[in-house]
Amino acid sequence: MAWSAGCAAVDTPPAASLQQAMETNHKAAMGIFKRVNEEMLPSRIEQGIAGAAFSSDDLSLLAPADVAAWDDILSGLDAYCAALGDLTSGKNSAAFTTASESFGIKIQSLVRTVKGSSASGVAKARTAVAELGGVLIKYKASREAQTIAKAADPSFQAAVGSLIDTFGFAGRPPMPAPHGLLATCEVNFRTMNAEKSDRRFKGDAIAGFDAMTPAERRVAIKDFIAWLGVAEDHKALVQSMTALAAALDKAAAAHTAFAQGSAGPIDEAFAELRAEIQTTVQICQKLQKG
Amino acid sequence: MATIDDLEDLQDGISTSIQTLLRAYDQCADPVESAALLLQTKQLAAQMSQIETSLFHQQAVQASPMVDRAFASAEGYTSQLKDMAGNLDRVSDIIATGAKLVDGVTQIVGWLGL
Repeated sequence: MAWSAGCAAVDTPPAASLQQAMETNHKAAMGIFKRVNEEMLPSRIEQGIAGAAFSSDDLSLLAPADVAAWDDILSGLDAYCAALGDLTSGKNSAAFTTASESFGIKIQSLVRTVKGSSASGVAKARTAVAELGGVLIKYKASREAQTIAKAADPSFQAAVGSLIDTFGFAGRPPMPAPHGLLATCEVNFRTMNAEKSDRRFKGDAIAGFDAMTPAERRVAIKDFIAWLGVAEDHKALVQSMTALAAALDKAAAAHTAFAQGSAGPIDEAFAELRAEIQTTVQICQKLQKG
Repeated sequence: MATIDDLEDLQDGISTSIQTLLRAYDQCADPVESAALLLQTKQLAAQMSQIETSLFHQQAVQASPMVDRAFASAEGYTSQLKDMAGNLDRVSDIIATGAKLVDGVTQIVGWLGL
């Protein structure tokens, strides 16, 4: 998966900015789910040792079916934002009646494929995104983006809110919750690496270095470098999750402002959204490199 | 009755207990006690991730007097470990309580999704 530079010019129309933001958030979310499962693997192995049996279901914190379900749901949100973008671009305005229905059917078709996941957040988001498709079909003749956005806003908020909740954030602006995906990752990292962070490499220095032989020092330095890399990767993951929660919240706020249609709040909300896109793209590029 | 909220509260209690165990580990000079503390933190972190997977699927635990007692016991141990954060010299007490918490949560995790 590759992230484009994603330069959102200041004069990008609001609907196009929203579309770009949600596509970026979609890529970021998928990358983060993958990294969370990778980082949690040591913990799953530890738990597996304590159990009586071990299968592929025990390998990941988030089941592949749940991750695939979120992929489809986010594709539905992308399609909805693309419909708003088409409508406000003027290029396809005359054909919007057909395009809107087509987008609506596509969205509903996408979420109907979400069958493998029983996750509560997925179920709420799936319902909300199916409603977005319904709004596009219902309002296909209106050709008024704001009318559509207004009708769709509760569903948009519900779908995006479910994703923010899934990542382990609560409130507006989203703050880390004491439990959930982020909290679990933090505890996992801290405990699985306590021997390194609290003993061998406490205070970012190699303990007992002066008493080591040259061969021991060589090994210790290599381990230390590896540890710094692991710690940096974890920091990047936490930053990515925090940035994504903020970006999703800004997208939700921008959608509401767009639906309400007042120039001042729209300008303000979309300026924040465009700034957030850049942050998300940069952090996700860093995460991808890690 | 064990609800989703109960499981989230249990996660919060485990998280706080892990902090106490890690602080004790940080100060502990005895290798055997250090190893025991480290093992307990890893076991509890792994159990917390198992609970997170269940929460992701909204899997709670069937209510029963036994389940209620297990949650009450676990809550008691997490509360004790929280209090022990103020006196980290009592390493043997911390390890003993940590072991009881690990056993209690093992029982609860075994019931998840049944």
